[in-house]
Amino acid sequence: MIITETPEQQKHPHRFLMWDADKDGKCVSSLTESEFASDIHLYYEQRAMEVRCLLARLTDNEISPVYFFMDYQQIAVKDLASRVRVSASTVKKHLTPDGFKKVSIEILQRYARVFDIVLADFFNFTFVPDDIHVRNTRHNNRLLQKTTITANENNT
Amino acid sequence: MKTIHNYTHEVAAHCETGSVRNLIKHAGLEVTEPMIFGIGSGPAFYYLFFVKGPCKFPLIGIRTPPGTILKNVSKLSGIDFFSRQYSNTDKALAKAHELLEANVPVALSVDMFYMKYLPSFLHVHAPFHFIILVGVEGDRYTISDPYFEEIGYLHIDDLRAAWETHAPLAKDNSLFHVKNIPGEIDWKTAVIRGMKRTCKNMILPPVIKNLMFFVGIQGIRTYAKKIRQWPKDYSGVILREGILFNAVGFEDQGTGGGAFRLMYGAFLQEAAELLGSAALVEMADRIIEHGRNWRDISRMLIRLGKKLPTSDEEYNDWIQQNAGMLDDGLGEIAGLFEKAADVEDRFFRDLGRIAADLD
Repeated sequence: MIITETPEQQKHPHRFLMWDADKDGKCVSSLTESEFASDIHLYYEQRAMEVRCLLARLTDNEISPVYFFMDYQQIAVKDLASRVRVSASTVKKHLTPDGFKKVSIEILQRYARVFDIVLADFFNFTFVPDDIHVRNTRHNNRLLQKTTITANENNT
Repeated sequence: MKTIHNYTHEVAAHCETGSVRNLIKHAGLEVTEPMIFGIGSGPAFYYLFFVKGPCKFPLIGIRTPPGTILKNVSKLSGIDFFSRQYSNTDKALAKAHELLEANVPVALSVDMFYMKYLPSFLHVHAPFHFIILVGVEGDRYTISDPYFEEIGYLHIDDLRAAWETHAPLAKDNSLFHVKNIPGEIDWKTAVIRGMKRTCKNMILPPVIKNLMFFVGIQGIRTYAKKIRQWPKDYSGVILREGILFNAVGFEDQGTGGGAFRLMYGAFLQEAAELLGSAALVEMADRIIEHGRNWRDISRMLIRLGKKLPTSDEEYNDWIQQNAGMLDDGLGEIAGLFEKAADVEDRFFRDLGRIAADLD
């Protein structure tokens, strides 16, 4: 998983179609930015903080990488179990560091598909400074990943 | 390469109503999103205390279950939709390709998490998002997503992951498209029946409403009660996120604002014109005012949620100093939701009577 020095930022405003009455009382739609858009950076800062907290627990051997991604992506155990096609109790075992050691590659591939990551992401967290650009490409059903590292043109 | 000719991509407030509207318009019939929402009996309220949402608070549904609007529109308007769920993605993709070849746009139910053209704050695991496939070139699919202003593109791997999730209640590998539009549609009857069904969904009979205390008007009351308990049931970042997520869910998650109530107002204005009903004009005004009030409550939730600390470490100190303020704020909001339940109770009873008179 790539963790960037500066938290992700909203590059382009996202507009929603909202309905409201105009001055004549007629209900009309308009494409508008969310009223809460000015606070969107708080969301991304919060997400970056969640990664740091989860990573600390991961390196302290409190949780497994499966727990890391499940919690970060806010999936409930039951939901994850259904998506990976195993029982909830099996998922619970995989949430602990010891249980994680027993997960087969095939099941790990299923987890990776749900989390939209590659297998390497369960074992590797790459911290990337702002002047570096890292690009990963996936191969062989998420088993392999090629990483290309270049200077970030925006920062050089 | 295959791209649908003459397809006009239009954004919408909600993904299901937007996709249904876009398909019908492509098939040659002019119809608005509020009309689809109204005939489809969209407004609802479910306090799903037994399902945890993305923020670890119970899930709240403010419209009918996914797919219901399509079913209701088809039944009441007579528009014939082909709708099928395939056993695997290969079969579903083969059918989608066949349709694209025949210049037929096809709607799919997918997990929004994998829609990479959307900003990442919308990448949540919600396996009931509706999009329309309008083209394919090699491994790249062209997507008309009602939540995205431009045409989006998806790699086949992302489409596969989104279309077959095995998530609970997800309609994996399902698709639908317009098969036939009848020569004449009795919009008046469709509108009246749509209104009647909405009222029935919101106001449950006395005995049923005690059993289904989490549905309809009673669901809003149950939700209001639970708001007061939030500081006891949750703490720290979970509490902060939960409060904010609830508010954003009412406004910015494909509702058109005010938990769909404003779009329902637009439907009632259209219905009033179609049926020449002054009573419906008044009902539209009432629900628009109610929708605006709902937006104000969402704003209050946001203001309150933002006061909570952003880290768990700070929470204990914060709550010691601010417990009273938080309880008061949530108490006030709970009271407003109780009032909102009363407003909707009167509103849907009156609407039911008007619809019965018009029938």
